[in-house]
Amino acid sequence: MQLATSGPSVDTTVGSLRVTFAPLSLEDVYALADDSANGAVVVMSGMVRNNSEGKSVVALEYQAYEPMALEVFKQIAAQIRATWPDATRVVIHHRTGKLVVGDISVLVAVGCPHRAEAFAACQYAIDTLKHNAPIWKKEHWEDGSTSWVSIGSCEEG
Amino acid sequence: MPNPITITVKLFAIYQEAYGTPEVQWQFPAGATVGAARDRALAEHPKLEPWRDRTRLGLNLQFVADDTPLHDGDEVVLIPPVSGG
Repeated sequence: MQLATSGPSVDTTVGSLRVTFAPLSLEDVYALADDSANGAVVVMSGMVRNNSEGKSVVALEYQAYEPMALEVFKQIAAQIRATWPDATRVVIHHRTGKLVVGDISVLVAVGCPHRAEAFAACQYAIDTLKHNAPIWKKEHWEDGSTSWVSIGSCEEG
Repeated sequence: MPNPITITVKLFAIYQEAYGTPEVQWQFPAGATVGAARDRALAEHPKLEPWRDRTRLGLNLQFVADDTPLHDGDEVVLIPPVSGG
């Protein structure tokens, strides 16, 4: 198992939760979700899109209150275990720092005996993360201006 | 009179840009609540007032209501609308 190169993390036999500055690995996340009791692994990959609301985006800058984000990830994993007790693994890795178009910002993987609960649990995880995790992203627009997503324009300097 | 309490306030996104620093240490009188930290930030940076009702509060890594009491050494975070993922 590869160790996180930065940021807080929790790695156990039933999952892996990380907030990290280092690039994310789809291969690692899949491997961490793999289990012989799985009939399905659902992986959600979120990446930087080249536009937002019709304007060209060149980069996203992620900021996280890392220890609290990890607490939110732990609560998500605990809720998945309560709702879908057969889930074998829960993996949530989120990046921080400046990412360019195409970079992966978040990976969520859930392993379960059957696909229905794996899809449901993975969707629950990413939806709850987006709603509750103390993580913010700033859009860097093609014209050089920036703005915080869901907040708005930045003061210069 | 009871001693004042000192807390750390973590700042992110618009709050961090308003203060130009990722955290501040503030003193409050004994008996102050988490909402006092938000109120002080908005009083010092009135342009952030529109975010009052959309700023959630965290205390020692958990979401809390604004009437939660503060204690010496607590770590508070002001959480403007999040956008992870």
